[in-house]
Amino acid sequence: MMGGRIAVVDTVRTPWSPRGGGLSGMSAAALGSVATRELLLRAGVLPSVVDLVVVGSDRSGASGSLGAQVAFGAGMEAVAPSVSMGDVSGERAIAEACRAILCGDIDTAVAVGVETPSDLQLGMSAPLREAVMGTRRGETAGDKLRAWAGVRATDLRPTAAVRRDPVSAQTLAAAAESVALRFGITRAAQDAYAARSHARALRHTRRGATDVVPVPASAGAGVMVVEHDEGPRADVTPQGLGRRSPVAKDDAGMPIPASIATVTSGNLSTEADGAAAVLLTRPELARSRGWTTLGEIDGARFASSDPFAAPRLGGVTAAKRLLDEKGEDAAAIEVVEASEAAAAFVLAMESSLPGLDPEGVNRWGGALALGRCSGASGIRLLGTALRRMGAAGVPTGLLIGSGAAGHGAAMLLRRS
Amino acid sequence: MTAIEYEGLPSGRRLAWLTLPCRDDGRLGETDLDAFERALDALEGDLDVAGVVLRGGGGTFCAGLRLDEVERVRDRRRLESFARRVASTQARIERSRRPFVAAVGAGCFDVGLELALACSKLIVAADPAVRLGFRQTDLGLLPAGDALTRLPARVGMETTLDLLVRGRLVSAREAQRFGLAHEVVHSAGLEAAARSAIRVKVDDEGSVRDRFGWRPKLGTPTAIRHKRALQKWQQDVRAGGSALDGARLSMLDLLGRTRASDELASTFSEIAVSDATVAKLQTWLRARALEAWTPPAGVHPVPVRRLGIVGGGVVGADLAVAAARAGVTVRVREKAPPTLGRALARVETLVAEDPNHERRAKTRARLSGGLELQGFSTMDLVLESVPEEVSVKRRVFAELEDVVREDAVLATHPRATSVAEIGARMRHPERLVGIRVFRPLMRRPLCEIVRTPQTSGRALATAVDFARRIDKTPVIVNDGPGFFTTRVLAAYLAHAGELVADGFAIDDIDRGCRRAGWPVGPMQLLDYVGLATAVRVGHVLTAALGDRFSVPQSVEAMAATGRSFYRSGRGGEAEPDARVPDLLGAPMARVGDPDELGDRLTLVAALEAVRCLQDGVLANPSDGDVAAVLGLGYPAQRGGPFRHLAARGLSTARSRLAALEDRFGARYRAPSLLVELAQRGADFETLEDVS
Repeated sequence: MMGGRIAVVDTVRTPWSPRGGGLSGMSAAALGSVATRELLLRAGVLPSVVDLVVVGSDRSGASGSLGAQVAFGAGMEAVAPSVSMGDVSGERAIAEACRAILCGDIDTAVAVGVETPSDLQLGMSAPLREAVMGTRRGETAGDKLRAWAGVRATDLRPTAAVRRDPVSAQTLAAAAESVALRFGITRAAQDAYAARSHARALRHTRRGATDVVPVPASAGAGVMVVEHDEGPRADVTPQGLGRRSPVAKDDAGMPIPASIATVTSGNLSTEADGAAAVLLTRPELARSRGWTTLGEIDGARFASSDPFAAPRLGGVTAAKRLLDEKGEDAAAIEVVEASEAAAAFVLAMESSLPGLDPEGVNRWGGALALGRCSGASGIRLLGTALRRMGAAGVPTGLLIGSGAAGHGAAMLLRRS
Repeated sequence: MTAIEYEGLPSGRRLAWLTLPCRDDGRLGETDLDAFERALDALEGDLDVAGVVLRGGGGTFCAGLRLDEVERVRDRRRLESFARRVASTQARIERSRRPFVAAVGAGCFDVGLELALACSKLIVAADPAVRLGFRQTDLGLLPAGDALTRLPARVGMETTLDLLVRGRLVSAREAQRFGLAHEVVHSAGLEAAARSAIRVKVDDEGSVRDRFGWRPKLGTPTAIRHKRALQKWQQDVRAGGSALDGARLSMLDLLGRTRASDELASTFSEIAVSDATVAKLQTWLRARALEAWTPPAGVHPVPVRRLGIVGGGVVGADLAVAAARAGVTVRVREKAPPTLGRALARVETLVAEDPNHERRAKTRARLSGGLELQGFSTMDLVLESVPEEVSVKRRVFAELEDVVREDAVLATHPRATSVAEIGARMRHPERLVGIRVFRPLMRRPLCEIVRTPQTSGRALATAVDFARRIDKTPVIVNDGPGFFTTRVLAAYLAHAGELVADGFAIDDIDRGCRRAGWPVGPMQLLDYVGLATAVRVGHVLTAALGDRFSVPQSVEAMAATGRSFYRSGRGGEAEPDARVPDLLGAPMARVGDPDELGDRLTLVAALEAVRCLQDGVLANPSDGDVAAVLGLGYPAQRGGPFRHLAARGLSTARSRLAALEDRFGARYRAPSLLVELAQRGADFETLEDVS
C-alpha cells in the first residue's frame, strides 16, 4: 500500500457460529447487511456518507454481486464491488477500500467480509448428472426415461465436496500435518495451543466482546437472536484433546500413518458462519468530523507461499516483507492477531518470525475456538487487534492472515 | 565416513541414526563397506542402543555399488569376497538383537536396497524422487548380496522377476503394494515414522522376527505359483522370445534352485568380470565422464530458464515435457490451430503420466502453446523441430532471428540434413547448434549435440547444459549430413531393407539382430521410424555420401503405399505382415542363418561408425561407442562399434569384410582407416583425440 495512513473508525461483527449453528439459516447477503447496518448505526454515520462498500468473501460471493446485495440490504446506494482472495478475502476488501481512499477517489468506505459455509454447495453424483442432462437432451418421453436407466438409489445422494486447497488439492488436515512434520511440532504442543485458544476466547467472551452485535437469525418459522460466539467451549482441556484420533490418513499422495499423525479435530478449526464490517476514512477527515477512531492502518502487504511446500504460511512471507519495509522488529510487537486454521500453522508461524512473543498472539482467542470464517476473518482480526492495542495501551500491532492456495496478507496497525 | 548420531529415548536408552557411508555420488565401495562394518561393530558393542535407523546421506539413500571400482578390479576372487561381505553384512543386520529400521527418503538401488531389505522394517517416503530397484541388472550385474534368495520370500516370484530380471524401478507406493516396503509416509514424516517404529519395537522386542530365509513349502499353493511364474520366464528364454544377457540368465537359473545362497557370490563375480558386463560398465563410466564435460575457460553457457519450441510434433512434445519437468518454462509454437491442438494434446498426455500431483501441477504450469512467436523474445534457448525440409527449417530460423534476444541460443533438431546447411542463410550462424534426442525418450538416454565449424562455444555449452538438465548424456559430434547417429542407423536400416528385398524373411532378420543384442530388430525399427521417413533420409544421405544409404526400388515402392512390415496379429502381438512379399515382389523364401544376418547388419553399422571417425564427425572412438549404445541401441554387451571391432581384432574383421565384399558387394568394403590400422597392427584406442 502506498504511503499514508487510514483511520479505522469502528468495526463490528456478528457472532461466529460454527457450521450448522445458530446462523446457519442466514444467507450471505443478509448476514453482510446486518454487519454493515449495525456498523453505521453504532458509528452514527449516515449511509449517504459512505462512498464505497467492498465486500470480501471466499466462496459465498459466487455471483459477483454479493457487494450490491449487501449494500442494498443495509439501505445504501453505494458502489459495491465484491472481492475474493480465498481465506484473505477480508484483508483484500480492507486493502481495496484503503487504496480507493489513498488515491483520492473517495473519502469514506466500508469493508465487509462474509462467509456462510452452512450454505452448503452440494453436488450430484456423476450418474445422476448424466441422467439429468440426458433428460434435457432427450426428445421423446422414452428417451427421457431411458436416461435414468443407469442410476442407482445410492447415486441420488447429494455429494458434498471435501474442501481441498484449490492448488495443491490437500485437505486442511493434511496441510497441517505436513507443516507439523516440517517444523517438528508435536501433538502435545498443538493440543495445548488449541485448549488455550478456547480458554482465551471464553475469557474474552465473558468479559464482553465489544465488537460483537447480536443477530436476529431466522430459525425455522421463528426468529432467534444469536448473541455470542458459539464456538468456544469450557470443557476443552489438553488431556481431553489428547484422546482424539488423527483425521488425515492419506492425502494427495502423502500418507500419514497413525504413528506420526498429530492433527485431530481438536487442534484443527471448523468452519463458521459470520460477517464483519469496518468503517474506514482519512485520519484528518475523522478528526474534522469529530469521529473517534480505534486506530490506524499503516501499511498492508500481500504475498504468497508455495501451497505444496509451505501451505497456509503465506502470511509469514507477507509479514516479513511488511516489517522489513517499515523497519519494525517482530520482537518489539506485542499485539499480533493471526488466522488460526490449525494449531500447527500458528506454531509454525511463531517459529518463522524470530523474536515474536507467543503470548502476544491471539490473546483473546482465535479461529480454533471461534471457528474459521474465511471471508470475514481479516476484518475480525483488524477489530480485535486494535481493541487489544487500546486495552493494553500498545502503539503497534500486526495482523497476519494466511490461507489456502498460498494466499497471505499482513497489516501494520498503529494507535497513538 | 560412517556417522552415527545418538538420540535419547524416553526409556533412558538410546536410538542410533546410522548414515550409510556412501560417497558424494551415493555409491558404496570396498572401503565404504569397511567403514560400515566398523560402525556395526561399534553399535553391537553398545548395550545402550535400543535400535538403529539406517538412512542415506545427501541426495540419495544409496545409488548402488561403486561401478568404477568393479570395472577396475576385474578380479574374480576379490569380487567374490566382496560379495560375501555384502551378504554377511546383510545377515548381521537381519540377525541383530536390536531392531534396524531403514528410512528411505530418496533413490535406493542395488546394494542399498539389499541392505534396506535386511532391516526389520523398511519405511519409504512418499516423495516423487523415491525410486527403488535394481538398476545394475541393465549393466549386467547380479545383486552383490542375498537379494536373489530373499526377494521371492518377501514379494513373490512375479515381482522378483519384475524387479531383478526386468530391472523395473518402483515408486514408494508400488514398493508398499508389492510388499517391498512396510510403510509409506509423508516425505516430511520419515524421521518421525522411523523413530516411532523403533519405539514400538523397543516396547515389544519379541516381535522382531526373522522374516527371511523363509521359503514356501513344496507343494503349497504359493510354491506352485512361484514355480509357474519362473517356468514361464524360462520357457520364454528358451523359445528365444527375449534375448537375455548372462546376468539375467544366471538369475533365472539361481532363482530356480533350492540352495542358491552358496553360489551367489561366485556367480556375481563370474558375471562381473565377463566381457559383456565389462563392456556395459565401461559404457556407463564413459557416459558419466561425458556428463562431466566443462566448457573451456571463459565460456559461459546461457542458463536455460525459458525454452521456445517451434514445432510440436512427437519430438517437440517430448522435449517440452522433459524440460518443463526439469523446471524450465516452455512455450510451443505450431502454426495452425488443429496442429497446435494435437501438439498440446500430446503434451498433456505426457504430463498426465506423472503420478505425483505436485510435480504434475508444477509441470503443467510451465507449459503453454501458441500460434505466433509471442514471448520468444524472452527465451534463452529456442529449439526447432519442424518437419525436415530445408526450406521450411530455414524459414523458421529467419523468422526466429527477427524475434529472439541477441544472446539467445538457437537449436535445430535435424534428422539427416547437416546443421550448417539448415543455418546457411542465418545472420548469426554462430548461435546455431544441433540438438538431437532419441525415441522412446525415456529409454534412450542420449542427446547428440551437433556443432558446425561456426557454432560458438557458448551455444555448445548451452546445449550441453540443456542435455544434462533433461537427464541425457551429451555427446558432441561434428556436423555433416546425418552427423553420427543418423548415418550409422541409416546404413544399418538401408542394408536391412536390401536384405528383405533380396528375399530374406522379416522374422529372420529381426531375430538375428535381437540375438546380436539390438533391443529391437531393424524391420520393426523401420516401422517405428516410418518407412517413408527412412526412405527420405536415405535420399538425403545417398546424395551427400554415396550409394550405401540407398534402398532398393521395391522397398521405396512399398514406402509409397504406406504399409509397414508388421501388423498386429492374434493377441495384439506384432507379427510380420504376410502381404509384404507380394508388395516387394520377393518371396522371402531365402533361408538365412539369423545369427549370420544379425552379425552382418551389426558389422555394417560398425563400418559406418568407423567412416564417421575417418571423416572427422567423431572426435574420438569412445564418443561413438557411447552414442551408438545409448542412442541407437547398438548391442550393449559389445560396448559400441569401435570396442566391438577391436574385440574381434581389426585384422580378423578385415578378412571377414573382404570375404563379405566378394560375395555381397561394396557395402562391406573396409574403410581406409580400418585398413590402415589393421596393417599397422594398431587399435582405435591409439588414435589421437581430434577435438
